[in-house]
Amino acid sequence: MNGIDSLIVDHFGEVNKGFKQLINSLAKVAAESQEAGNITPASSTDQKRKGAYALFKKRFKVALGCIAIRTQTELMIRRVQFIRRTKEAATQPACAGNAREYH
Amino acid sequence: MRCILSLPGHILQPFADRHHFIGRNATLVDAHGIMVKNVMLISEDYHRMHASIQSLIIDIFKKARIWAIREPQNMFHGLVPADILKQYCDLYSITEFIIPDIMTYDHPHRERCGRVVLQRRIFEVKTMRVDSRMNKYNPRNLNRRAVEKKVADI
Repeated sequence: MNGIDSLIVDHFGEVNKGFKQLINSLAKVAAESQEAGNITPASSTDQKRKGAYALFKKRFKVALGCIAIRTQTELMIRRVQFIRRTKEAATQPACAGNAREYH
Repeated sequence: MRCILSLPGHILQPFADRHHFIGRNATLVDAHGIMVKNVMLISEDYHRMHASIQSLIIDIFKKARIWAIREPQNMFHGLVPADILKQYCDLYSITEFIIPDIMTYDHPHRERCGRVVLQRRIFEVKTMRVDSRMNKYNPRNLNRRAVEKKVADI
């Protein structure tokens, strides 16, 4: 076992260097697989399958950005129900309910 | 100067009139949603995108044909001697086990000689919250990013 890699993502889809390296390496591995030959548009001339590598890398990055924005929006929508017009009314629902553990 | 990285959201636009409040401390709602995201709510407090990011990474591993497990409870099996493992299992319950976020058994790693070896690796997913005053998020260095600051903190 060679240590632990931390993958850090913030609310805007910004990632750390380790996550970028992981995406690059996984895109490389995915591009070298058998099924990558079908997705690259230049499969006949693309000797090292660089087209597939770029395509996979782009897909992974887009998926990451989409999930960051999506979860952020979901959080907003879920929290809209706690918005109130007065300070007292806002405090009451915020303190009600059971504490949820981090997951 | 406050730096806001996201655009104002349509969801919160009607509430950003300085007359709407949210949270235990009754914070004013802002159009960008930074206050709404970071406000303390007991029932909705710690719901972050941790689980979603975990699922995404598992999907990426699947696409790359690498076998990965999400939150494995038996990470020490096959690594530590049986008697020590038995002690560990007897002493602690499943809820107290050391559980990593993602574990792979055949992650390819290119050595310096060019040979590719498959190795066992652990990945820990961390998410960052963007606080309204940018104390946690601000890296305090223009050449450094906030996520890299978190790496240094870990």
